[in-house]
Amino acid sequence: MPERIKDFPRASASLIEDHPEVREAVYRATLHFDQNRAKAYAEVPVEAWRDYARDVKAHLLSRLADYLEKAEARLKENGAEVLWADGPEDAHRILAEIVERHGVRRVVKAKSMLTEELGVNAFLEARGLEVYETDLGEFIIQLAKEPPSHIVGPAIHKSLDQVRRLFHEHLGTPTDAEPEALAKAARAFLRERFLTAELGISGANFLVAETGTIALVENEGNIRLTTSVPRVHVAFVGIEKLLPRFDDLAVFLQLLARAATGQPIGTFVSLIQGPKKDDPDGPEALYVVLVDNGRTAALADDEAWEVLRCIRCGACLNVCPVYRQVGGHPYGFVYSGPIGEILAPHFLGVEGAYPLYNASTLCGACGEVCPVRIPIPKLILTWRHRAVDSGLTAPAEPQLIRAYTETMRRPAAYRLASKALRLLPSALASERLPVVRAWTRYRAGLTPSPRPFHELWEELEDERKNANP
Amino acid sequence: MSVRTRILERIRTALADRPALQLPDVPEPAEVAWEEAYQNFAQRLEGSGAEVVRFGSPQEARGWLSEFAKSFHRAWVSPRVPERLRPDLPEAEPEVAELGVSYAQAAVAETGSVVLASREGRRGQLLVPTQLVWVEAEVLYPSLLAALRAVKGEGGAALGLHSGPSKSADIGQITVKGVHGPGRLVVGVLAFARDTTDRSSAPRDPVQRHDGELKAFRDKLKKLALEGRTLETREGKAFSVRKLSETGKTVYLELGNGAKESLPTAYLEAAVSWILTLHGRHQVGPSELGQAVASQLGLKSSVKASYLWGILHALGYV
Ligand code: SF4
Repeated sequence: MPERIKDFPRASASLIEDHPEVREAVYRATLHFDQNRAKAYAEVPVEAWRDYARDVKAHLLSRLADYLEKAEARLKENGAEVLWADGPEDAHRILAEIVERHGVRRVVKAKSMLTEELGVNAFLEARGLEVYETDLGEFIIQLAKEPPSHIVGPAIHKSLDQVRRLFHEHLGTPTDAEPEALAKAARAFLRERFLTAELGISGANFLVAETGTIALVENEGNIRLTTSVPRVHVAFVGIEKLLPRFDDLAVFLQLLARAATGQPIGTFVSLIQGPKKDDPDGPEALYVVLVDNGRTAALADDEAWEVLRCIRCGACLNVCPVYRQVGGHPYGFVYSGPIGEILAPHFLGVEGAYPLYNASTLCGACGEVCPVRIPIPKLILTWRHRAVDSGLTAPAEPQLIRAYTETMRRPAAYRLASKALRLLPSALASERLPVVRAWTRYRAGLTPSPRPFHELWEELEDERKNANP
Repeated sequence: MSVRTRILERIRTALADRPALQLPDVPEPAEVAWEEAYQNFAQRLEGSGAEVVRFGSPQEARGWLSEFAKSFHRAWVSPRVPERLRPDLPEAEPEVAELGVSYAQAAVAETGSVVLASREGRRGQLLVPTQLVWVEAEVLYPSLLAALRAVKGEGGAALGLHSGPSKSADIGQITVKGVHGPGRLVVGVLAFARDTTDRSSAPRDPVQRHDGELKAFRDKLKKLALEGRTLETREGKAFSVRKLSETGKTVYLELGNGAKESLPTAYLEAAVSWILTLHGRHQVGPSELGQAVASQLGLKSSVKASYLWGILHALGYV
């Protein structure tokens, strides 16, 4: 994965050149999501909710071990089996045992980013099991053999025509089928899988410590089916997904939906309280796998632990000017966009994640929308500082910045430099200068404005003085 | 060392030098009257593509149902649905039924949701193309918080909140309905008092239903007794809660003129559960409250209702 991450600048540049349709699809979808979010935020006391959500998560993380023990106890009382996984290896071992114990051959999956982290599909397929993603977007990219490109809308980079071709190839629908017909074909195909699968795998949006309730949010009904129809249900839960109290769900469910898609609440919310027990249907066995996979390391990071408040709403992706241009794939990591930039270094180290946290203009938009108020821009900067400290950046860069600082401190030097730049405009576009070269390789060259700022400013000042003497 | 121990130990080490942060109170949503709650409910649900029908009488609901049922051949009907609300259709398994009929455990105005109990069977709520959900007036809650409190620990292994027909915009950002779950959701609101002689249809006893809330109320009361705050009746008479008896059964009051009064906590609890059963009809006056408590406890006088009202007002119930 780090290799693909290193490739971000080239991959994003070539995507923009070679696949303008991706940029268009991603731009349209994210703009739409973000406009709906803005409208939905305006209908509720969102600032108070964001403060509350931030504080609940911060409190939870500050007592995480106690809450995990409490959640485990409640889950067991509810009749679930609780298992713990450090990372992919543990998760795979646990799954292998469950598959063995229950004679599983077919698996239906509800969208879960954590199972992407853990490489669950590849593992199960390598053992000869049939695995079906059941979220329509996930199903599309499974057919296309691609990873998700967005936390909430995994296939937003695909145009209608691309989906038509894909479905034509795999499900035999006509090449000009309307979206309704395509959805119907997917429904029929997957319905049969739901009814015959032995195992359903899901993630979790929240796990309530007080009651051991697993909350899952969706719009299609596939998660509800995945966790209800097969006789075994396995839920993978990141240890940061906990909420202290059942009552906390009230705001979190609404805030998540409003941030993600602008809905008042997800169309289907499942509040799972254990295996079926006395119910007429539902899974006979429920396994809850509590997963670390880098999270305790993030928690131990005094400067960057706040990333663990994330509820995976995708709002920061939708508003990010970089993500909007390129979508999720060039990032080369499970999570893309601003949240991906600040999660990746916890998983892969400051070096392994370089230069992902540079893929930001630091415009601050992500921090403005985040429902749990993660200071994303600040965390991006933290990682950039660490990259400099670890010697990952071009040696000329700190020098150049030092020189720049000195120049900016001295008005005379500043004036001189700004004149020089205007006399030698080619210097900024030069392929030969270090740093500048790195900049211009994937971006338009820098051209100075015809007149320097301080001249314009003086002129304005004069005008102002003349206007009101 | 087990994985579990390792993870917990890493967390404890990470947090060793960090203070525990404060857990904020859950934001309490503003109360709204039933009619307004209904309007919000209908508007939200319709906004997400569902159909909402309101009935003023059992006859009206029955008449509508027989018309509605005509466009289907087979239905799955939840065992929770009372006799009078079952369509006159041959029953079928969820896999083949064209219509599924459910009986809501609760409904939420704030989000436009019906809360369905897994106890009635989840397949029938999910596999059918069209879903009809009956909502009794008294289970419509103004806020998600109120509804969650009411259904906590109820309804079976997995409650499901449905807030519209199944939908997806995953194909080229175009919204399609009925991707996996029901593509059509019809919600019938029974906006009339339930026939209490039809005990079979009453899902739960109202007092029992509010167990969690009553416990929270008792806790609040304890705190209040310790604080000894000055309260006011609706008529503006000042009084304070002196203390709670050791057995917790009596609240001792001190009136503005120095006189003493006592109030059994049972009255307070009966009043709270009565208010909760009304969900949101919170423009409750002392006399109305007194009558309710009187009828629930077989008590003739409602003299103490003003003090009762004052305490409940201080706690935000009226
Ligand atoms: S960082 Fe904030 S905005 Fe981004 S996905 Fe997480 S919760 Fe949503």
